[in-house]
Amino acid sequence: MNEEFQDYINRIVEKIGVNGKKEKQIREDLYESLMEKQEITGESSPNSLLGKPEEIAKEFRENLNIKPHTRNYGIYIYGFEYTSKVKIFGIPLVHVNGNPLGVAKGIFSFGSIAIGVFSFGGVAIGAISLGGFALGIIAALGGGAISGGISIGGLAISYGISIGGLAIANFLAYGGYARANIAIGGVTNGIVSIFNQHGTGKYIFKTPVDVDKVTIAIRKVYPNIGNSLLNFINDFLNLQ
Amino acid sequence: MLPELDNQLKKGILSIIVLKLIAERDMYGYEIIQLLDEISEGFYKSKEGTLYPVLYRLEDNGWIEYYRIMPKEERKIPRKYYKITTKGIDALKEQIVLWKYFNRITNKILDS
Repeated sequence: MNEEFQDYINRIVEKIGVNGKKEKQIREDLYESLMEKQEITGESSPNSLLGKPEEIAKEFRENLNIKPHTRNYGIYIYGFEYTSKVKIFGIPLVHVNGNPLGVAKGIFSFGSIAIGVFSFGGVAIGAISLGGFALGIIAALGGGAISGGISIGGLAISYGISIGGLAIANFLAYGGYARANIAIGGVTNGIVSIFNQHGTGKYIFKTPVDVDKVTIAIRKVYPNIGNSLLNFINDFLNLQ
Repeated sequence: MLPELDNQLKKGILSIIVLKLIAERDMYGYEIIQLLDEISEGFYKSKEGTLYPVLYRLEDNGWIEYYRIMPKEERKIPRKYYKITTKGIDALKEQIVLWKYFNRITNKILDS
């Protein structure tokens, strides 16, 4: 193998931004073209034989319909965009947008900004969202998580249940600082407040707690609470 | 002619032309580039970045396939020859009919 040709081809392929079978094909075909032209012209410089790598790569990108600046960084394909042909109510089933600050909108959406039923991204907005900042109707998981159902994150805010460093909820919060009707954590503020450092509320318990006493307090606040939910709360108490 | 329009028109028709050339005889990539340049008197002068994506599309459609032959001359790598498939022969017939129809209708509008 001619090393100069290989370096030249590497530069072209890197600028095209392809991988797998297509990359192999392009490498083989460019090498063959270089060899053919070298035999005919006697010229050995790849730049003289085929032209500047930037120009060759640009031509390949245009004719392969690859967007400029698309690069492959290992597993994550920076600049890659995919929209599934399958749509539900006119919304793509899957939309992946790897462009910087690209917005992905789909039932399953993946991107810097992802909006969908199941959304995953830097900023994720949806029914169930996972991301740096996640906003979910049902659930959110992320550095910052806000939802109507369950939020888990550094900062977790929800109507139902929040779990996180700073957890704020209407029903149950568990975290370093927890504020909710039932608050469990280091520093707590709630009607039922179970703490190990400092707590304020109507029914205050310092850990370790008597689970039965806590259950009685919770039943005073939520008389119709189910046993499964109580068991779920008890699991958090056992973590304290 | 506007350069952009010129390029777009050429790109659109290039796949039919390349398929037609390969249907005449099996050919390797650089040979196609040279032949295109020669018979079109430079009008279809193509570079690798234009021709190979066309060949990839034809191959992906199952219209052409390739095989490798080590030429008689002293070489270190074999040549990749493209040949048309049965599916490709049918597709070429359809494409030529479509092109003639397209050409006829377009001329009819432009000449009116």
